[in-house]
Amino acid sequence: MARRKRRAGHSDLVVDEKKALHRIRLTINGEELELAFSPRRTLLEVLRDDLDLIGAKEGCDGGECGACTVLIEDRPYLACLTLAATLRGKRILTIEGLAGNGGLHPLQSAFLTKGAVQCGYCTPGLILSAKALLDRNVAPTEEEVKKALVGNLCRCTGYQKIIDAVLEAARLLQAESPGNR
Amino acid sequence: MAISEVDVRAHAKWIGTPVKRKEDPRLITGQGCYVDDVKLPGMFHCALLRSPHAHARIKRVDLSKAKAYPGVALTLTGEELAQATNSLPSVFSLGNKPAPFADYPMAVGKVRYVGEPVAAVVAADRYIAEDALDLIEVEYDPLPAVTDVEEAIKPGAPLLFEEMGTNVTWHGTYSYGDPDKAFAEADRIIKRRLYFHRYSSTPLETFGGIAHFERATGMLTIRSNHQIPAMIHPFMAYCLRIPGNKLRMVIGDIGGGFGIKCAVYANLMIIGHLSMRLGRPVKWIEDRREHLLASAHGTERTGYVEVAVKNDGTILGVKMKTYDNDGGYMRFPEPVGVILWSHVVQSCYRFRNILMDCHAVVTNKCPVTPNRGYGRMQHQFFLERMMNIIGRELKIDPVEIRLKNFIRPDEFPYEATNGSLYDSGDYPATLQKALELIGGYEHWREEQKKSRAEGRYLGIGVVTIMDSGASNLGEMSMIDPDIRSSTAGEAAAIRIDATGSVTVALGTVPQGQSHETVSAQIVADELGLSPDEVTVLTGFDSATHPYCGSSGTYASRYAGTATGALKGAAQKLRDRIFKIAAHFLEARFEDLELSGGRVFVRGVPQKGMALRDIAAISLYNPAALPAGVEPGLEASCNYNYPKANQMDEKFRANYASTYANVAHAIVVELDVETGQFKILKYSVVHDAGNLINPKVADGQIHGGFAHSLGATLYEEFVYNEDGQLLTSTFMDYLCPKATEIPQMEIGHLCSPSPFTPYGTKGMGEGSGPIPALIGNAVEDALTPLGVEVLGSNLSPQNIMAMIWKAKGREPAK
Ligand code: FES
Ligand code: FES
Repeated sequence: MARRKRRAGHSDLVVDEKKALHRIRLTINGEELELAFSPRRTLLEVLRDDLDLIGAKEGCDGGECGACTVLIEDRPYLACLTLAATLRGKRILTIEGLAGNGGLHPLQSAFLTKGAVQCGYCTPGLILSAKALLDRNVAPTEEEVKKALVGNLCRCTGYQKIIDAVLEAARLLQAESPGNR
Repeated sequence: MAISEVDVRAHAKWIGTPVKRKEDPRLITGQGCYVDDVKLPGMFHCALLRSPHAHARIKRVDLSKAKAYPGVALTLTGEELAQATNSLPSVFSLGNKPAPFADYPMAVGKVRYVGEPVAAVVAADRYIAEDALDLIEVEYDPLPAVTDVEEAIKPGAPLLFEEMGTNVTWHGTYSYGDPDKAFAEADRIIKRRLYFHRYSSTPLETFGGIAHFERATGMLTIRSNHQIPAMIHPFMAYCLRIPGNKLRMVIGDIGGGFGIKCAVYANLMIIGHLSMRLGRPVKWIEDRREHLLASAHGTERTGYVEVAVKNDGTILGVKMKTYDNDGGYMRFPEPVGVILWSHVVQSCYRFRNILMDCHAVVTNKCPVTPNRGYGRMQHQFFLERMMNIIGRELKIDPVEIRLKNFIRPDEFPYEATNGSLYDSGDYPATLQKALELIGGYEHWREEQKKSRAEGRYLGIGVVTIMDSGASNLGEMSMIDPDIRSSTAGEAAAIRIDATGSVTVALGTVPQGQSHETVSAQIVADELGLSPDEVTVLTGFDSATHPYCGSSGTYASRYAGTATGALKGAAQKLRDRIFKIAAHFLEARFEDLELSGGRVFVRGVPQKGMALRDIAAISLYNPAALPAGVEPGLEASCNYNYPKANQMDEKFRANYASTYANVAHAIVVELDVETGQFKILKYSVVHDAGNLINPKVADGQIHGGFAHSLGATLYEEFVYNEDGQLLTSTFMDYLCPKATEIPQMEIGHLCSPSPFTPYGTKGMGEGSGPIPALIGNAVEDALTPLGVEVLGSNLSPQNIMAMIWKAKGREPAK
């Protein structure tokens, strides 16, 4: 059916001179990459289809659900609405790059201990939206947490445990921060 | 074989504790593997052309341009598919009866709802497939559409299936007790027409699948996110004309289901057929608009409810005439949803004289499927609204009228009028606790008085419902008594390998219900291990997992059925382990204990053997085993709930397995200028018996509440009279966000089921109570205006419409 963005010759498999592949360099999860793709493809498609970074999910492909949320220069973006070609030189973080060497980021630990996950489809997007919040606000109120997550739908949990988890992560991060040692 | 029946609850370390979820490490790091995450070598992609018309004859489909488009591998029309496959089996096939009409996964000759698949294209990638769809030419001859169920049953209404001569595709009447006598003896008969609207719990992941036919082996593997793969397996094999052992259904992580991913298997037929023609994997993933428009919806129901009452509030009997709007087709398990309220026919109450008069009707809307609270939510809404309406007419308080009619705590196990065996509960206590948790009923009634004096509109609502679990498929006999079934079960297999570690496989198909975690808790307790030491396989595979006739994850089955299967398999292993250990340790079977990965003589821990050693003996040295002990440490159990029976000639059976009960209480303050309200207090008390994992149970309560609240306040599939869906994106089909969920107080009571292995009960269906709860509260708030709530969607505009109506004013245009 009519996927708004999946139409009109987006395929990388059909290459003609009017539609030469676009080449850019960018950083994804700390790794500098050079990528080539059709200029009309979205970041979500490039992440999932070309780079096998499947943590960002497609829930609507239209900017309505937040399942595809990733961080670009530390701010949350909907990867399904972001043309990959616009990201020259940008720094992108997906859920796969959140915690180094097999450990967990405090947000991930808090999601686990607070029971904030059911089917898990919304989880990567929610964790990244929450990270963007905690990066700019170390001690958010419950209201601030809710507002920061308003772009992310979750159909399983009813949100309360997610909100609890984000507040818990804020506490964990504060306890970890050098000023408190 | 004799099974040493041990009730591990006495020394349970893990059952009942909030163990951390085993699923989470992969899900929080983006390593979950959902169907759209899977890529297979040589995989093609499928896109579907869908009907723009609600009702039209297909005059011509021209695929020539699409076929010629570079990158297109195959095209398919509904006609072509119908020739190559058998039509979809219906519930009636189970009683060896013909279906009332032929049903194929793609339109044949006619389209009956907007979004119905008309043609398919398979191409090298999805973009090409979508581009090629634009090149397909279809000529339609539009027909008048009918979307309203009561219009559809009128003589002269447009017919969806001319050959049937009616849009009523199924009708059944059932009488329990003596309804006519009850109505003759009543002081009053209170009647209303009530309406439960159309919505769905819209999982965040849409439906989809990958079919992979391997020519060399003739094996068709379909990987999908379907909720009842074991149940549809024989249907799919029949339709695709292949033997069951050449069809493999594989399920990985699922991004939410809530029932919506049940009736949609028709789509898997399409890709199954395409892959068989191509000999290559074919992937098809629904996009969001397709999902909302044409996947499957929850059922909308219109009910004419009559209640026979005494002036003291005693309910004598209920007559219910219902019309379910099933949409364009009646796909399995429909029309079962029409009678599914048999599980909870009396709900929490004592009236035993009931007339069920149930109709399934086709209209030009999207077909329906189970949705959280399938078939029961509408009944819960009708009954809980009626309790308040009756109370108001008789001037009896809504709490009091419920207390008066409750089944008494000393009446359990209680056999309902239709043979359902309500296991246990203390309904008055559940309600009392809910009222305590909002801060006391009297208190809020006082506040209400004060606020009314100030011109404010405070409303208090309560509902008390039964949350049945694990349906007995004997319910299908109500549709046709020739269908004989009594399956309410689940299957599990446990293996202890040569390293002494434990792997479990089940027939369940979780979509967020934490089965890996809770199964590990149960097996850990049964085998004296920790849940970390137990691996529970993710998902389902019909080729390798055990399953039974009703396997799957729907209708809150796990607590009433999978628990029994796990216990059965584990206890077979315990038995074998103890026999081997008794032999080698020269100890008595009864004196042995299993804990910490060792079996040892009670009180003499040094006299024991590691599980690993027992596994090694049983695998590598069968000759050393005591007589009669089977080699290997592997056991399975195909469990059926012991009280699941077949329906008798009076349409009586125990239609579910567990009967949890729930009370909700709410206080709202309504703004009569905008129709919006604030929730000041909200509480819910569940009595689901023993909880395997309280954290998981709370998650189900929060989630069920959010769904139900969304359905009440925002979510509705709105169609215009031409049958066009007006709410087909998340921009107009509004789901609750983080900012819209109020604080809730959760309470638990515990009346263990006497019939399940660990006293557990299914829980978390809960879509019905909130529309009734809020309806009750809104009506209570608007008492001064005399407003009556008759529908389940209480959006601000609907509330304003009621207020204007009560004030005798036309709504502002
Ligand atoms: S997939 Fe991007 S917002 Fe839904
Ligand atoms: S956990 Fe399923 S959508 Fe959030």
